[in-house]
Amino acid sequence: MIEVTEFHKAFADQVAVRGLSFCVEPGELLAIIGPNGAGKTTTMRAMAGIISASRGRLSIGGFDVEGDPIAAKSRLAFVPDDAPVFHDLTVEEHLSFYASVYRVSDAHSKAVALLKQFELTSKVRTPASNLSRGMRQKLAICCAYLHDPRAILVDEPLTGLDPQGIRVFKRSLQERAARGAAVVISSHMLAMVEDLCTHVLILAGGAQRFFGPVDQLRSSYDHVDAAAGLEEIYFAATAP
Amino acid sequence: MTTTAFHPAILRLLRLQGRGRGRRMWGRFCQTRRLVLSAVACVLTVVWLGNAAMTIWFRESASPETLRALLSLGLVLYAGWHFAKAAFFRPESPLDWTPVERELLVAMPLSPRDLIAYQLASITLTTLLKAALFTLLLLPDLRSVPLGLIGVLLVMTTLEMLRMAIDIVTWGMSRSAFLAYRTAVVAGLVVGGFAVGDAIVREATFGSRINVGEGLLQRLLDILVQLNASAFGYAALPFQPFLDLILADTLTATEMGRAGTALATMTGLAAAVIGLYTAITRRVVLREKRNYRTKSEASDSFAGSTQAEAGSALGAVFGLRLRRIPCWGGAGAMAWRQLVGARRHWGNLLTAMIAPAAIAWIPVFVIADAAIAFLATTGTLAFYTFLLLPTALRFDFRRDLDRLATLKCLPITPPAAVLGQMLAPLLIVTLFQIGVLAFAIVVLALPLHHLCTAMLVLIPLNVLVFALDNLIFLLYPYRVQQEGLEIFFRTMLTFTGKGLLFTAALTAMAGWGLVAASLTDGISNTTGIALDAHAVFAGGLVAGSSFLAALALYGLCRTYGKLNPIEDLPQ
Repeated sequence: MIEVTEFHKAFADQVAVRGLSFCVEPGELLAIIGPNGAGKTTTMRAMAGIISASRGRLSIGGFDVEGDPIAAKSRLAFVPDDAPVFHDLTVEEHLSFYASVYRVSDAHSKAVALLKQFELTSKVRTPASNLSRGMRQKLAICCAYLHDPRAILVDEPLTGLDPQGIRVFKRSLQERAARGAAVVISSHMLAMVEDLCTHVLILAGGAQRFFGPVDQLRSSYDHVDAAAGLEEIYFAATAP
Repeated sequence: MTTTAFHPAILRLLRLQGRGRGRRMWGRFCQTRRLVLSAVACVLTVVWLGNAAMTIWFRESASPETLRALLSLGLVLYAGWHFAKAAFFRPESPLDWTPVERELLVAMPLSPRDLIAYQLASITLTTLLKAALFTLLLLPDLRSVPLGLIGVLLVMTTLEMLRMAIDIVTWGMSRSAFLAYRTAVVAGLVVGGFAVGDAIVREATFGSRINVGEGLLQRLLDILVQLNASAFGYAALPFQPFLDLILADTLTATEMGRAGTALATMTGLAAAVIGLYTAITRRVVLREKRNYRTKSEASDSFAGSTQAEAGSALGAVFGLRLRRIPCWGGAGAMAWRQLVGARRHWGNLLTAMIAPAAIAWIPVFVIADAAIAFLATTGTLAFYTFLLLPTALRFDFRRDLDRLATLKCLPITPPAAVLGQMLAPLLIVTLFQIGVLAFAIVVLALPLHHLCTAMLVLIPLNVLVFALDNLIFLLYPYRVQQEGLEIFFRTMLTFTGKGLLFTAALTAMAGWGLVAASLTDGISNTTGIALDAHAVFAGGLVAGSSFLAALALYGLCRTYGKLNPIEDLPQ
């Protein structure tokens, strides 16, 4: 569903990502982890079609992100960490906008369900500028889910969410994966990654250190204790 | 407690910020992808300076009465603008800060005096530069340049402080008080407008309409002098010490006294602003406590019932209404979104459009020949659209700096995105122009086809102007609310560039007029078919402006398509 082949990205003279290749099939949840500046957000943004690749190919549902961006983006939802909302629009106006852009059929019933799920029913007429950070994050998630994307990209998804919101969001990701969506999460919260994801991609200094199922992770690092948690493995994998 | 006049950290912060700003401006100026624009900026700077020099050398000096009238009415208008702006666009915070400044500075152990000092110091350099440039332009009229510069600087700083005071007061008003203020301002504007119109019409010397070539500019200046001499002149009384200083001959004891008075006025206003800020922030806090107490007393179980009330209100409110927005490949949704934004800022829109409408209608009441009056109204409108309206109508890419990444990841092609983003301002400006011209048509009793022809030319012009503004923005993005030197330079250069383009367009139009006349004559003589030179001229005008508009749109689509929201945008 999501396929990244030999992805490189350079900003001016600085190479942010080099030679990344991985694939996320429907039903899989991939976590991208790595230290600050490892290239996680750059990779997410390239998959979302926001920035172009310096080299390599990225595709969503078989559609090349650069060659056929509209088809690729129509199957994709991207939730960045800073919850980008349109300050002039209310919650329901946001949903109207996204329903129109993605041509969502039965948008009303889907919107009602999402608003109830993320506890935004009392805020439908509230301008986004008056929402708290957590609520803006919830709104961004509702907008992203509205068109039932086949590929979901979330960058630091739990920022600002309350415990109830975190639980609902994690469950929603698992449900959508179970229904055939391919999910990519970029996060520093290793406990959540361990709890939620089926696959892990570890990046350090723009290079790929590990990619594969979570189960294989421990066996890949012989020198790490067999009972070690993801945190120990992470430090071992990202050590210079 | 600080022992010096202002907290030393404020001064250090301002110095470091100034240095950082300089580094950033220079860094951006030298960026490879912006080299062309930077080169254009250099050329425009030279043009501006040349133009200023020529204005200074070749312009006849204005008479003292005319200069005094222009300055007093200009200052009154500028001060009035601050009052009106606050009435239609209520400040969200007492001081005009960026969110970062608000969060960092307010949390620091700084007194209101320090905060106001920071605010004043941040605008000082820009004010100083503005005052110097304005004085430069007034060189042919000033009798003592140093006194003129001091006067201009003092009056500009005073006006800045007046703006700060208005912002603080309107921010701190209760809802009812603010509505009363807004009503008073609207009433004042209406009454003032009618009174000015009435005064002009009542004057025997200005009662009759004039013919073109009779010195329209001189007549307008005479009207301003007359207005300043009438009761309207009293409105400029608070500015008299500054005006006297600007218009003074030499530095005498009297002038020194005047300078002292002006300085005292300014210092007094600064103290008043500090006092206002302290008092009003305290008042807002007290009001909140009082309101909360009143509500609690009204209902014993106020605190406990809030949750339940919210819950019951929720049941009543939650009736989701999703609008059916036409998609048009995403353009419809984008345009709808911008129109919703425009609706929420109707006060700003109204403020931005009242003045140009009034100015565009002046020829209707002043010029005798109806067709010429209509042409002058259309020209004024075109000029205003070209020069100023794009700044007031930013319901396009220019207010989406922080959302460009979001827009880019939507499944919308660049042409559809551009169309969607541009539609709202184009629709608003076109409706505005139709309204203004329709009024002129009715008053001048002209046939409707004049309006249609004017709009045929104005619509492609609107597309061209807004596409150019957006193109420059995407090539050189900046924050809309950003203030300071960088924006001042940018605005000055943009206006110079636009002025040059407008002049070039007028020259091209005149040239095309000659070509169209000889072309139709030639064709008529050769083929014997009678062609209407006016129709050929108008057709060429529409075709030419449409071609340029299409070119600008194409450039905008390409630039948006290539835009990298991570590298290209200021953080």
